[in-house]
Amino acid sequence: MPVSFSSSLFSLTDEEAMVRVREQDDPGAFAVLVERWEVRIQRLCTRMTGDPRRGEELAQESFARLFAARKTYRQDARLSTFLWRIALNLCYDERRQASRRPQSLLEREGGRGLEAVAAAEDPPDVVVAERERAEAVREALGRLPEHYRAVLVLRHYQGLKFREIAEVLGVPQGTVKSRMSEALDRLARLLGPVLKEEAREAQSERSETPRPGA
Amino acid sequence: MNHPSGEDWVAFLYGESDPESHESLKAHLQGCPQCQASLDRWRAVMTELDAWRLPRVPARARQRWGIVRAAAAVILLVALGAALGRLTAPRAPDEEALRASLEASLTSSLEPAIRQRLRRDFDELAVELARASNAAIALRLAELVRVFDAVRAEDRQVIGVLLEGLELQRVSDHAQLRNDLVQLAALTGDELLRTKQDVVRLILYSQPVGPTSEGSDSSDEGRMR
Repeated sequence: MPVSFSSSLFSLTDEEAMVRVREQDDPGAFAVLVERWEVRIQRLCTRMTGDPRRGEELAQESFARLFAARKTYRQDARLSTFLWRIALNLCYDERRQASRRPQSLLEREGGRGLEAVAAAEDPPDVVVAERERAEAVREALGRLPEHYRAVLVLRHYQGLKFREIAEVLGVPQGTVKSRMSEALDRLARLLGPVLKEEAREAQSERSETPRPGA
Repeated sequence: MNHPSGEDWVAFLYGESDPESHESLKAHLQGCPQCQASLDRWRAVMTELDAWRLPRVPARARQRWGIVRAAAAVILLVALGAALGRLTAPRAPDEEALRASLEASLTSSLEPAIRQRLRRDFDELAVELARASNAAIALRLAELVRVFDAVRAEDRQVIGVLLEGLELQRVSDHAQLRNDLVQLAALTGDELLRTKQDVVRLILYSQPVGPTSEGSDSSDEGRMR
């Protein structure tokens, strides 16, 4: 079946699509942008807030803001930069509001959605161990100051280059890199006990010596 | 020895240092256990970070777009049926013979036209469809945000009212309870007094049965009290 209509819209670059949205309020072009970016934005928000459901909501809000801010979009700017910035700002606001709320649901329910990831065929103890590791990471990230967390999430999980992150955050590349190294240092301290345990297990596997007491 | 900075090392770890500095960093690493150790630490952190995985495609996104696509497919099929019906109707004259004789030439001459027409219809329809559904999505999106906020505000208000009501209820219950208790205390006091008098009377009545004189003394005391 010929689907010529989609190829015309879907072959637009992000920037062209956004200009269409800005100039003509073109919902088709906007839908294309949503489809292309929704998952990435949702993941960013989930990593930043530590809560999958909140991540989903914030992603939707990001697109609502994107649409609302369409007139301020300049064509020479990359759409991705524009969109990452909107989403990050929402995440920052979210954290501030969450910290003012007395013991929010976010803290208690944040672990939801982690279990869905483990493969079904894994034995239960592996599933539990994996979930604990994931939970430790989620928790450690939540304790990083947000300008470290943002750099770490954008580089490590979203795969942005340091140059792109610098553009999104509006700071020099050197600053981004030094924040990244600081973030890794802090995480090494926060995850210290977990890391040591892993290292010990790895070593005992390697040397194949019987465990003490076994 | 002059150690490279943390900035150099993160670029190295994430494969973003230029070839020249990559080589020199690698060379430094060979002869520097100190940098080797801190790099190992960071590598361990990076491995650990990967333990926090997220589902590949979030369920709701998949579902939502799935619905839009399904709707589009259904509408396209219906439109296809309508278009075919429209195009075949004039081609169905009552005389079988005429039809048979004309069919070959008719189809050959009409086919390109039909195809073109059909394709144009398709394209128009598809564009309209995309517009309509996408406009709806954009609107929904904004609406959703508004509704969500409104619901939250409403919830807060309702809870506030409920709490106020509860507090009022509590205060009035408290007052009621106090009154009841006071009344009960008064009643109990009366009751006690009456019981005491009854007991005294009972003792008095049973006095004659007791043989000792001490008993009469104590009953006198009891009466005086």
